[in-house]
Amino acid sequence: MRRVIAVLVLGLGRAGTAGAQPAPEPARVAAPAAAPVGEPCADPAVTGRLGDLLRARRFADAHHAAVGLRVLCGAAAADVWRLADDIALLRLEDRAWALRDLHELATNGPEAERARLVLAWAYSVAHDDQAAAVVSAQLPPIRAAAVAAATALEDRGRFDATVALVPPGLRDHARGIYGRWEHARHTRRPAVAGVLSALLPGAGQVYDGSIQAAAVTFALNALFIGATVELARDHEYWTATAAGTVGSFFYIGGVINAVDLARRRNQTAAQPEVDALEEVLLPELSGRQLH
Amino acid sequence: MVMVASCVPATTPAADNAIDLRYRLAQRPTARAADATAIAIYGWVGERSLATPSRCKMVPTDSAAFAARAASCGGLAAWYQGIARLLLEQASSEKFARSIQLDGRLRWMDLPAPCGE
Repeated sequence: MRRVIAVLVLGLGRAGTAGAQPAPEPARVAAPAAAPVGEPCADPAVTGRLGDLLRARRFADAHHAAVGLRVLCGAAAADVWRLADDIALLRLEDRAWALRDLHELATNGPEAERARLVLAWAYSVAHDDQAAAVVSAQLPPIRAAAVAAATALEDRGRFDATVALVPPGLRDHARGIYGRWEHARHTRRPAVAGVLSALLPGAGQVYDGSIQAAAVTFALNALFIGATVELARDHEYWTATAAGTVGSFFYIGGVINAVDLARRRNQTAAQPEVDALEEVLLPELSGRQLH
Repeated sequence: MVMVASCVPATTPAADNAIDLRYRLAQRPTARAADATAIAIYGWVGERSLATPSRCKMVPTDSAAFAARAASCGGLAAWYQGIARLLLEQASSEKFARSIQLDGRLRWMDLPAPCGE
């Protein structure tokens, strides 16, 4: 017992004097030898990691990482990081900055040819055919044909004509992907979704595959249509008109949403095939060939 | 809210993130100030009534998308599309939109398309 009390007193005494006299620093245990952290500006693995972010479709992260590298490294920033940043921005539908930067990159430097390819793709995607033709003319014919085929999905004739110019192995692969894309893009019919939603609010959303949106649409429309009818039966015409006007927004908004969801469903269903086609014809865009 | 926004001086709140900033820079400069006022009022009321930061799942936020559509497509179309977007927010899943990890949480990207698309 005495031993316990002594230990407690000694402990309290040490704690009380700790503020007055700093305790000697404990001997540090030698840390295990850590792997050397490379300077990011000179680390060749950084480019691969940017490519990984693009491949994972983490475009905002790729953009933020590339901006960080450009701020950190200044003039030592590699052109390939700029290219990765521009691809990420184009994917994020932020075209103005990316196009300006790509034009600079395409003028000269180690990434000029890849920048021209990305630029031609960006213009083709935006249906700016004149600009795409000007940039594509500076590409090797096979690469120009690959860009044209990858961006001509909506036009079967143009796809067939351009994909015929790429090497046979790629051509067959691309045609197979195109067949799967055509099937996937008709997963839902927007017109059917719109008509269903017009007939019964929420039915279009059920057809599209969103029970939650359907429930909200149905509940809101039931509420406002019911209120309008009830108020009109009670001869409260002004209030009924107000309720009907607000309800019309939910009704028409619900129809627009049903059509929009069907289009989005088709787009997301077909997107893997679009990505696969780009991967085959334009591997630069997926970040696979960034090094 | 729109009537109040049209009467008070324009304010432009700071952008939340890089995408928001770039998105705003892409907007028409003439429309930006008045739209930002409406969003500022909405945000001010929302902050005080809910006592919580914005938890909008969409990028850009519904109010920012509404402002952009009102500027490009007109008020009536913006209301219809705004309702459709609120329903899209309810339906948000990988079937309908692309997700993005932003501001420490999962959000759904829906950049307003040009008017009529």
